[in-house]
Formats: sequence, C-alpha cells, structure tokens
Amino acid sequence: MFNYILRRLLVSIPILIGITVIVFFIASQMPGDAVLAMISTDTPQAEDLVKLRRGQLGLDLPIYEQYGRWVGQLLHGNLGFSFQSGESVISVIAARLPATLELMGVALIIAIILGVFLGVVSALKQYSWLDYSFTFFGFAGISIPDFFLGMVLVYVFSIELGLLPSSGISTAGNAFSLSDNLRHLILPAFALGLARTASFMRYTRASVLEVMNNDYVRTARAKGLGERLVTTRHILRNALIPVVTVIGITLPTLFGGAVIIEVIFQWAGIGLMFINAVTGRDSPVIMGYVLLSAVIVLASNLITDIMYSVLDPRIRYD
Amino acid sequence: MTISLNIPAAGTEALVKGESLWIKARKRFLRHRLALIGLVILCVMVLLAVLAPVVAIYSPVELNLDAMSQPPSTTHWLGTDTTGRDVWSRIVHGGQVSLSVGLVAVSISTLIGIVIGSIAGYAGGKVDLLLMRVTDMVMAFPSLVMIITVASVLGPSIYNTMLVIGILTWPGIARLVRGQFLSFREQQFVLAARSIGVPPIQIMFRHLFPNVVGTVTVAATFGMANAILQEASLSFLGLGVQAPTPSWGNMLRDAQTFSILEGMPWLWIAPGLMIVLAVLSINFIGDGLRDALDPRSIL
Amino acid sequence: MSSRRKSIFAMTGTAILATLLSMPITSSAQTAPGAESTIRQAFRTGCMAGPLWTTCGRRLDETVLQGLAHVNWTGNGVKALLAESWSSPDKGKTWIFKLRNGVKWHDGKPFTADDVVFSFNTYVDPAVASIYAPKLVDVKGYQDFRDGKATSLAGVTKVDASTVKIELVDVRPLWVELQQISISMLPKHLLGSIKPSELQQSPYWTQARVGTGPFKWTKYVPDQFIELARNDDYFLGKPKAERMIYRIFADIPSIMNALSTGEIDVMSYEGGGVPVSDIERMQKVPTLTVLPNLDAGLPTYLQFNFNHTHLKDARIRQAMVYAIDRDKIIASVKKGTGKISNTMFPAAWAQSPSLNPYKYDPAKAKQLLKDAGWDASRKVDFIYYYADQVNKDTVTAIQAYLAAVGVNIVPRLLNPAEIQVAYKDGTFEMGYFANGQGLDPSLGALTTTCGAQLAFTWCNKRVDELYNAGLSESAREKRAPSYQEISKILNEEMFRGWLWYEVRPMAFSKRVVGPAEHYSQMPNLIFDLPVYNEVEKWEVK
Repeated sequence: MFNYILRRLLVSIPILIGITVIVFFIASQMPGDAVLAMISTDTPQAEDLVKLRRGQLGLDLPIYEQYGRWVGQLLHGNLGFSFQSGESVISVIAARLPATLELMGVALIIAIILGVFLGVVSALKQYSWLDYSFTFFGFAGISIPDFFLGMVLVYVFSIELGLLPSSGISTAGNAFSLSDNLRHLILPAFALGLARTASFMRYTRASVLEVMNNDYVRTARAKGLGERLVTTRHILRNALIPVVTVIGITLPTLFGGAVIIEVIFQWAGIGLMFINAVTGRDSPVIMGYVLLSAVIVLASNLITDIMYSVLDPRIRYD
Repeated sequence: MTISLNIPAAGTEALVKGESLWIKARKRFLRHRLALIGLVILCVMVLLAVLAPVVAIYSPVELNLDAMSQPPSTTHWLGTDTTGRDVWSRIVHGGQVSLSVGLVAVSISTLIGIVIGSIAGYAGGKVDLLLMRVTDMVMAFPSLVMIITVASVLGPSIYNTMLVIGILTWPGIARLVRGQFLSFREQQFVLAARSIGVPPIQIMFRHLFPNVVGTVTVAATFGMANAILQEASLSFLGLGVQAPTPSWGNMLRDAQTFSILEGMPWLWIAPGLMIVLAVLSINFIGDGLRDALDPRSIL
Repeated sequence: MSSRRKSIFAMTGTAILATLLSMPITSSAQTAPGAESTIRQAFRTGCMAGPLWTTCGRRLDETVLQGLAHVNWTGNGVKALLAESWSSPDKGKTWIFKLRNGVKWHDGKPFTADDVVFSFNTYVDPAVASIYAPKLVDVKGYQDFRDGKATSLAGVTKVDASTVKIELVDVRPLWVELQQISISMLPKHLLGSIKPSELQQSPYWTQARVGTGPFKWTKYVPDQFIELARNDDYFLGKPKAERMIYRIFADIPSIMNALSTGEIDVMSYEGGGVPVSDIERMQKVPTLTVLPNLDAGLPTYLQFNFNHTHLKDARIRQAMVYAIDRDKIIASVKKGTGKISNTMFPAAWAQSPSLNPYKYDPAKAKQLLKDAGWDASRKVDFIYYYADQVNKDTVTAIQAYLAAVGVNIVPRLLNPAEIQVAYKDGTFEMGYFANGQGLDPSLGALTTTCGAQLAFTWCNKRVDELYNAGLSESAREKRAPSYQEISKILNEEMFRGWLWYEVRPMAFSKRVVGPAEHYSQMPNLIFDLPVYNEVEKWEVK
C-alpha cells in the first residue's frame, strides 16, 4: 500500500509538469496581456510605456524562458508576483483559500446530508411515489445551471424577502463574527451543494439496494429482528461506508463549480480570484490556481482509490 | 440518444442469453416512468429544433424597436426581448444550437474516450500506463479553467464551444471502457479468439466492444446533459455561443439583470425552463438506460 | 442513529437557521463600534495597484493619498491641497509651489518638499513604469530620464523645505489644471529606500498605504474590502465620518444588489453606472437617491480604421450616421438616456453653434453610399467591448440600421485586454467605441490627430494647430474659438461616426449626506482624475 501511494505520488510529478507546460503556453496565447489589460479602455497608452512595463514584468522574454523563470521560482517555493497587484502569488492564494474551502466544505456537507437522507429513503421505499419524487428532486438539482439557481436564490431571499445578504463573505468592515459569516454563506453553499446532492443520493440508493439483497440481511430478518433494527444496524451501516468514496469523486467538480458560484455571490475565494486573473491576464496568478487545482484533482483521485481498497478488500494495489 | 434502444441483439453474442437480455432491458426501461416522460419531452424538443425554420414565425435575430419587451400575446407567443426579437423564435432556434452543442460535444468525447480506453484496456502494460497518465492529466485539468483559456484563445464561437467541451470531457468514458476491457480481456471468449489468430482490432471491436456499449451509452447520455449545462455556464461567463446567435445559455445570461428577473419574467422563464427540461429529460433517459442496460453500475 | 438523536439534530439545525434568518441584514452592522458613522463605498476589483499603475483607483486616492491640488467637483478650477499656493513668474514656464505648513503623513512624519521631488521622480522613473509618466512630458529633463541619460528629473528642484520649483520645456499656462493634478504624493521616508523596479511588490500598497488624506489605511482584506479610519489631524478639519469602507466588487449586478439591500451606500462608476435597464427598479427603492442623467462626459461613436481605403471617403462615414436612427435607439434601447452628439467635445462652450445635425435619413445615406461607390457585398469587421446588455442591444440595432442601407457589419465582442491590442495594432475595420473626454477638450484621450494612436492614421494638421493654440491660453473665452473650429471640422469630416454622449447613472443611499449632493453638482463624471469632493464633510445621517 505504501509503495503504491509513493508510486502514485511520483507519477503525479510528470502529470503536473505536463499540465503547467500546456496551460502556460496556452495562457500566453490569450489575446492581450497583463499590461494592456491594466490600462483602462478610456485612455490608451503610449507604446514606449507598454514596452517598459512589459520589460518590468518579464513579458518581453521568449515564452520558454518565461516558463523557465516560473519553474525556477517554483523550485524556490515561490509562485511569483501578481502582475495586477504586485503581491506574492502565495499570499494572494493563501488569503482567499480559506473562503473557498469554507464554501466547498459546507456545500459538501449539505450535499452529503441531503443526498444520503434522500437516497436511503428512496431505496427503502423503492418504486414508491416517494422514491420517484426524490429521484425527481435529485435530478432537478443537477439539471439547473448553478448560475441560474444562484441568481434566483439572490432574487428571492435577498432582494424580495430581504432575509439574507446578496453577496460577500461578511459585512464589510465589521469585526469577524461567525453568525454574520454564516448568514452570507447560506445562499452560495446551498446553490453549490444542491447540484452535488444527486450523486450522493443515487449512490446511496444503489448501495442500500445492493445491501438489502444480501444474505445476511435476509438472515437477520429471518431471525426475527425488528424492521427498524435491520435497517439501522445491518443495512445502513454497511451501505453507507462505500458512499464515502463519492466524496473523492465530487471534490474536483465542487472545486470547478465554486468558480461560478463565487462570481455570482462575489465570494472572495480563489475562484473569483481566478476569473479576475483571467480577465486581467495575470498569468502568475492563473498558474498558481491551475497548479493548486491540479493538485486537488490528483489528490482526490488518489484518495478515492485508496478508500476503495480500504473499504473493499477485494481491490488490491500492488 | 434513443438509438441505443434499437441496438441489434447480434451485437451481444458475448453474453449468455443475448435476445432475452435486450427484451429484459427494454422492459426495464419502459418501467422507468420518469425516463419515458423524459424521452417524450426530448423528442418534442428535438422535433421543434429540427423544424425551427418552420415553427418559428419570426427571425431569431431581426429586431423590431417598435415592439420591445412585450409580454406574451397572440402575435408573440412568448413575448419579445429588449430589442423586440420574438422569444419563441429564439427559443426554437436556440434549441438547435444548445442541443447540437450537447450532441456534437458528447460525440467527440465519446469517440476519443472509446478509442483511448479500448487501446489502453486491450494493450495493457506500458501503453496502458502511458495512456492512463495522459487521461489523468486531462482529468486534472480543471475543465472550466481549460475551457475559459481555450475559448479566449480560439475566440468564442459555437464550434469552439463544442470542440472544447468534447476534448476535455473524454477521460471519464476512457476510464470506463478501459476498466471493462481489462476485466474482459482475460475471459475465455477473448482467449479463444486470440488463439485462433483473430487480429486485435477485430477482437476489440467485434468481441469486446459490444460488452461496453451499454455502459458507454449511459455515460454518454449523462455526458450530453452535462455538455448542455457546460454551454450554459460558458455563456454565463461570456465565453459561449456569441450574440446574435441565440442559445438557451446566452438567452438566460441576457436575462441576468434584476429588472428583467422581476419585470420581464418571460425572458428568463422560457430559456431557463428549456435548459432544465432538456437536461432533466436526458438525465432521466440516462437513468432509465442505466437501469435497463447496466443495472449494477452506480456511477 | 436513534430517532431521538435525529430529532435533536433536526431541531438544532432549524433553530440555527431560524436565528440566522431572523436577523435583519443591517443588525450586525450596528454591533460594530462606529458603524453608525461608517460610509461604505463600492470599489472595483483589479484597482488595488496604487496610483502609479492603475487608472481606476482614483476614488481611493482622494481619501488616502493626495496631490498638490485636486480638481473641484464642480469642474471649475482646482482646489489647493498639499500645496498652499503656486505661481508662475514667466506665464507658465516655471512653476513655484508653496507647500502647506504642518501637514503630517498618517504615521506622524512631516510632509516636505523632499516628498514632492521624490514623487515626481518616481512617476517618471522608467524602472517604475508608471502609466502616468506621460503627464509629466513637459517637465525639463523628462526625455533624458526616460532614455536613461539622467537619473532624475532636472526640472524638479527643492527650493527649501516647503517650496518646490518645477521648470517646463515650454509655456503651459494650464499645466497645473491639466497635467500636474494626476500626480499623487508619495512618502519618501517609506518608499525612498525601495528599488524602483520592486516598488510595486512593496507591502506598502496593501498593508499600510500611508498618505496625508482625510482617512487612514487600517485594513485590506483581499477581494473583500479596504477599511479606513478617520484622520483626526486632517489639514482641512476632522472628517465627520468615523470610518470609510471600500467594498470590492467584480461586477455591476452585485453592486446594484448591495445598494438596494443597504449593504453599501455609494456606488463606483468604473466599469459603468447603474445599467439603464435597472434605473427604474433602483428608483423604486425608497432608501436610494438615483441620479439617472449624470453626464458621463463620454462620446460614443463608430470608429473607423483609416488604414482601410474603403473607409477613407468622408461620404461613406457621413452616410453611416445618416443611416442610424439615433433618436429611436436612445428612446427605445437606451430608455431615454444619452444625448445625440455630432462632434467630440461634450462641453457646450467648445462646440461650434453650426454643427450639421445628421438627422436620420436612410435615403440620403443610400445616395451618399452610391455616389462614393460603396460595395454592398462587403463584410465589415466591427469590434466592440462593452458587454452589458444595453450596449449589446445597441450594437444589434446599429447592425440592423446599417444593413438596411447596404453596409454589412459583422460584430465581434472583445474583452478589455483585447481592446488595447486593437488600439495598438489596428486589427479591425470599424468599432463601437467610447472614450473619456473629460472636463476639458485638451484633457481627453485624443489631444492631437497626426500620429496619435486613437486617430488610426487620420491626420489633420489644422486640427493639431488648433489644439496647440487652445493650450497656449488660460482664459476659456480665448480658448473657445480654437476648440469650436475643431468641433466643426470633426463634425463635417465625420472623423468618427458620432452617435451620442453617454450618461452614467449613479445611485446613493440616503443614509449618507454628501456623495449624492456632490455628484449631482458635477458637470460630468470626472474620470481618472483625483477630485476634491469634500469627503471630510460627508456624514451619516
């Protein structure tokens, strides 16, 4: 097992290199650059200035040299400096990552609780109207574009009903308070979580159905155990363990989906940062984000595979 | 995506009782009521999109500044938008765009996925290792990141949207196909075929492939639903299908101001409902197909 | 999980949710100290780089970093701030600035002539690469410093601790009003020891931007907000508000939402005002004051790239303007906002009284095109970069009107980074552009034609002569004839296809007294210049 993990980690290195090379070169092909993006459309700038600024940011070097510089910095544990604000990319990301993790975490919890609950009920009542309506609900969740769901939530809960704030992480300028933060979190977390509920629900439902047909469940029933006891002690306990692996599968899509939700709710996380960086052609920040997201995806894949083997002894990695 | 229902039974010679299996599958599918409803709705949508030039009374792009922002009426069934274009005409033409983006994108990704997955699964060893690392790499590309970058490099257009979504969403299918191939390739019927000298290509497509058709169909169905959603998200970020060509995604994006949300609900209800209905129908069909073709999968 | 445990979970969950929901949106604001006296403004993302490098942080500069003088909000003249007075013994070639006595930086150090000399040099230093360097092009020694032949600006010298002398290469009677105002003063004692090429990476800009203005930097939370506290020692008197918060937004719809729910008091104007489609909705919000007709000082026009020979005939350009029913577009798509324009300058005093109005006349347009031999099968590449709905609809309408007379444009939407490439390389045929014209005809983005980037190879020597003549005088009456003649030439030549002057509607919360009052007195929104808005007098009701 240890060897397996080590090998997977080693294999990730060329993958990461491949990704960064491709993204770096593609990003350099984007029309316009950071210098031009920082100049307002109302006041164009003189050529010599643009040249100076490009030189200052290293944008006048050939692209492979720029990549070399970036990797050089990376090896020194440094991701470069934002073209837009001059801050170091590590601190740019570090300042925003907790917000994204909070959003993703709560969305995941919403998705798990809702998904597992609906999944268990619809499996226990297979082919009932309850099963159908929950299935319908779950699928409706993944069928609504999340930006549209976000817009409607803002419209209903903050503009019309005035119950919750329309955007942001906390009331600007106030000392941080958890309740204030949570109030800002409800809408975006729900918008992000609802779309992921369905996969937990479907997985749970299938898993519960599979366990229900197992011999030991029949044995338990035959022994005369009460239905509730059979359900809780035998079915749920065994059926819910594999559901854990869905978390690993969900993480990358959660990470991607957070971008759109952060834009709609102006949630100051790294998704919003990334979109701003793309608009501003801020390639050090773009690269920082890409590197981070690739690491997250690779890590989730690895964790998923490990969980599979831990949970299902039949799967073995040598 | 209805073709899969009519796959001839001959393609399943590898499994024990081919004929009865397909009848069983069809029965299982027909029992999935939501899937049936989804199928009907999708057929209607496809029909409307195909017949768009006939059923749309007005041009989807021509404006009429004397008839701006009108609510639904007998002349404009779904009202008009902020430049006086007929919403119904835009919806049916937009359907053409959105559904074909979904279909083309998923065809591209399925094709790439099958080719790479079957080569990796059949060849195994070093080839498998290499191809799977490439797959991992594409998978680890945050798709939205890549789509945004590629769309802004190639320029946003309907074809680029199809291409980009297609090129970035194949790893799922490739992994599925590879997994199945790996498990089948040591089985008796494959070993037998190999021993009598059947060429690998033939083994792959004559003997192994029919076994994964079900799984791939199910995955492709969900993939199409996803591609339609991706197009909408891209349009939301301004990187999808460009004006004046209507797509459900960019119609919905254009309705993003709150004065429209509040005062002109016909501008967002129609495209919003179309996206949700289309994606929901396709997802239900996928769910039905899964129950029918691949009951043990829990993807 | 037992059913009792389950129900406890459910109950706690419901209780938390109920508590959270029952708190009104502003309740948490009241718990913070000084919240009653906090002014919350919207700020655009990507504008944090500081006054050396960004064109969109001016509203922050107005309150933290200040210049020797800022433009008055009423648009007439400048307000002396860090300079108490200035004079020119030779009608505008040499300028002597007397600095205000006793001004302190927020960290307590005195503000002196050394800071002024340092600031001017920093703006011009090629290693800093400030985008405002060209504002100082008239200062003696500018070119030598830019070319690396000198290590400082020869024309800027310290006379004594509170006097600075600036020598120009030529007579510029309006130099203070038109050029000098763009320069914010920077603290030498904090920045002087940093290598110029690394200045942008200094934590000064984000951690503690020490200035001399009415508010002090206290905190910056990335992508969320900048918090400022009152500067009790401000030289124009203690500000009335205790705190100023700039909340950072990446898009306009979110700003509109935050205004209508009372999360912010003042909107930003960078990137657009209240979308015209939202004006009516915002006017219905009882807590808001909406200024729907605030002039943006922004002429919108069809840009022609004169590299393309088929656009060189003036009749073709005139025909396109005749072909577009501008009144109809303003009344319908633009919901009545905007004013027809037939030349560049929005200021009435700079306009000739005899401009051709180019009334909608498709027949005449067709005739002109025919006379000029226009080929109706030609497809014209047409770029635009305002992505909001009204502007997209407007381009759609223009496309339809032009198609009706046989001019077929193919619109192409660019993003902000791409538009600068188009400016630079001229990779387009026509475009839908708008450029800030500002308060004065010579303050705009285009102040001469021959060789200017935004003229796209159009060149009219007479216009350039007139521009220079306009700068050699300081009294408006004496300058007016020059600009009026320019306006007439630009009108007849249809150098650009003049469409209309934009409005930039703004909305403010009634909770704060000051912003709405000051903005409503502006002759037009003053872009990209530090404005003296009497921020110290703004207060929360």
